[in-house]
Amino acid sequence: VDASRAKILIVDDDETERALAGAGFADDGLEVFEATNGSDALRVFQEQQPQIVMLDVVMPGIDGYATCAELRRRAASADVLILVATSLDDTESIELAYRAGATDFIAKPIHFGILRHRVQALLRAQRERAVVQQKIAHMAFHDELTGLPNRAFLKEMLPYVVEQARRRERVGAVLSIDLDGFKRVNDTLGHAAGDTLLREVATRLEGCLRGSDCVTRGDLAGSPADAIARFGGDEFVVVLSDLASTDDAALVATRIVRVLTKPFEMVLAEVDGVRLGEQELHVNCSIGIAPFPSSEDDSDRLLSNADAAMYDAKKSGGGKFQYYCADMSRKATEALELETNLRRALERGEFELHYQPKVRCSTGVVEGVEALLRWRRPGVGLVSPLDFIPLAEKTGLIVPIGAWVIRAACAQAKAWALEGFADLSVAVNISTRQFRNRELLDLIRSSLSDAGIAGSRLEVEITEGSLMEDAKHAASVLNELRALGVKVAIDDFGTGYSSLSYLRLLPVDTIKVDRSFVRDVTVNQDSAAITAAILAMSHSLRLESVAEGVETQEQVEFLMRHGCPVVQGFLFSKPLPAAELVAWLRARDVEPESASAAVTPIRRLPGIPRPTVTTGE
Amino acid sequence: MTTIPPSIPQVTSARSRRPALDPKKRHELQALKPDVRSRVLRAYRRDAPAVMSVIERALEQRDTAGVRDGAHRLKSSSSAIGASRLAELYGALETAARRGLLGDERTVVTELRAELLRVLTGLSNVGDG
Repeated sequence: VDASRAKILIVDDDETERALAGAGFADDGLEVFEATNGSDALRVFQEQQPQIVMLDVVMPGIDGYATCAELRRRAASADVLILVATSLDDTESIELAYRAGATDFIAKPIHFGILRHRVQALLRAQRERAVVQQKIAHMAFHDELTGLPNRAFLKEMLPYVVEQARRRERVGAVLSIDLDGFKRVNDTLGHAAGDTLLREVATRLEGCLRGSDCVTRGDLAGSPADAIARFGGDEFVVVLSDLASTDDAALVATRIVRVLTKPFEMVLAEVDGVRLGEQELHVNCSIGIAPFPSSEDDSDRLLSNADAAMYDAKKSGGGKFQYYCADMSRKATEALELETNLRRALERGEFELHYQPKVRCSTGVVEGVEALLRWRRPGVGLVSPLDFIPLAEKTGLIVPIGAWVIRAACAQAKAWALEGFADLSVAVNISTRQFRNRELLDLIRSSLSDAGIAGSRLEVEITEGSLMEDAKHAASVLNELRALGVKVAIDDFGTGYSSLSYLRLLPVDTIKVDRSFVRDVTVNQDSAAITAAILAMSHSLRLESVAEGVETQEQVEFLMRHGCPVVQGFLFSKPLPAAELVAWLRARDVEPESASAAVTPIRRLPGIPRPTVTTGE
Repeated sequence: MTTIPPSIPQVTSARSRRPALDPKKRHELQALKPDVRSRVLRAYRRDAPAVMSVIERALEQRDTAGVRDGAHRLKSSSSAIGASRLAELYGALETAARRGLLGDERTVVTELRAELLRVLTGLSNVGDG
């Protein structure tokens, strides 16, 4: 039997008419069903789901109008065609028929030849409508690139799957899958290669789900099956609908990780059947698993829980899967709250700068300070930069925040000049993202001129990583900065992978020895050796050195012995608000001897000579 | 063979010159597949006299709704098989019942019986039955 054959239901209490009408429709290839009265019609309609119903108005029992209205109410598809047969001159019954939901009316006596053509035309229009609707539904519920169901589809389907699992006392899981390193493929090989990779990933994922009978389904009917959806970008979601235990999700996750970490063979171009630019790509993936049923069965909740677990897996290095636990959701909520508040912090003026003095060992004079960002969060207090800078970096908020820092630091330098500290320079930290930003130089220029200070009053601290990311860009920015008189310090030196000889090529003024080495100089021979080497090489390159994180007298002695000219750390002062810094500076100037030992350690070491620098060169 | 229920006496009507069945419809009926044709004819031969009896009883009892529905049904099916004169007569009866203007039922019944008989006879020439 041809499944696409249209079904027609003829409802008439008169068999002569049913037989005559049916004969014509059967000749036209329709599958004909008959009913002799209203209730019979409803039963046959339910069983056969015909595309078209022809209904006589005058019947014993439930009449044609009532039958029509009830059919309309029960029809699974609003598209079912209902033709009501009525006398042409009876306008009242025509009106009643339309009101009952009839598609059209047939004039009696019926001209069967005309009726057959009319039915064919109506069915054709119905089919065309169905094709269009199907296409729209497919587009709305499928991802164009991979042909997989999309987010909308999954959200529609998930509550149903969860409910089924609950009723059948089975368990399932939502797996959130994110590719590690996909962005790199897109950036370096182009979007076409990225798209090819995503399609291949989709194919591999489909292969991962159990049998061939439970791959993706295109409809919402029937029993639940496993499903894969692409949520956009490199985000995929798998729903495992019928597991014996939630532990089984780990088996699937393991399989997915194993399958996706296999190299992808990519052909970048093909000319006359010859594959060009064949390349083996390696990607990794992180998977978060949220099992159900659970106390949090809401679909959105399951998806966000799977996401939270996925991020956790990603953080621990990728190529892993991770089950969701309640703690993640708390962390995720906190992170979201933090982000929202961070966005508002700038406009609400909740940021402030604290300044940590840098002390010249030979003279004890404070020549400059490092500006350090603090966030005074209402109701929370002072938030450590460690708690919000990574988030600011991730969200890009670091750029406007960094701009504020530069402007505020320049304005502060001007204020200090007015208070008598005209030579005090202020150093600001420039994040990698900000350093990459093309507007940095303009920002610095305008900040200097708005504050009315010379470039030499400003110093920028840049990490090795920022410089190495794009050496050409770095060189041009540093040259511009030098032209402005702004000094450049390499921050956290020793932790990255740059060599001092490479730094020789860049216009850098200062090297800041990372606090991790300084902390251990008196207890760890390696740290001591590295620190000594950095100081010696820096000296030979005629660069200034600053040791950060100095906390003990012993560390100062070691650093001075190895020729470190400038020190900075809690031993001298913690970072201070601008006003307190001025008070601190004044106290040193007026009564240096009476100040606490920690504040003036230099003067207590007068006998230490400028060390002679020995280098390997 | 045609079987006529006893309630309808065999009357030959010469009044109407129109054939009982439209020639065009007759042709159409003859062109039907044999199984469909025999079903149509069988149904009409079975139902028309039965419904006619119902109409007659309703007329006697002044049951206008019963007359109306019966006349409506036979108007339709008679029209469907091409018995246009008979369909007209049932149509007139339906309209009269609808308006509550039923006249002398004996005249009506006599005329209907005669025409129905003509039609049933005509059908026997259409094909098998």
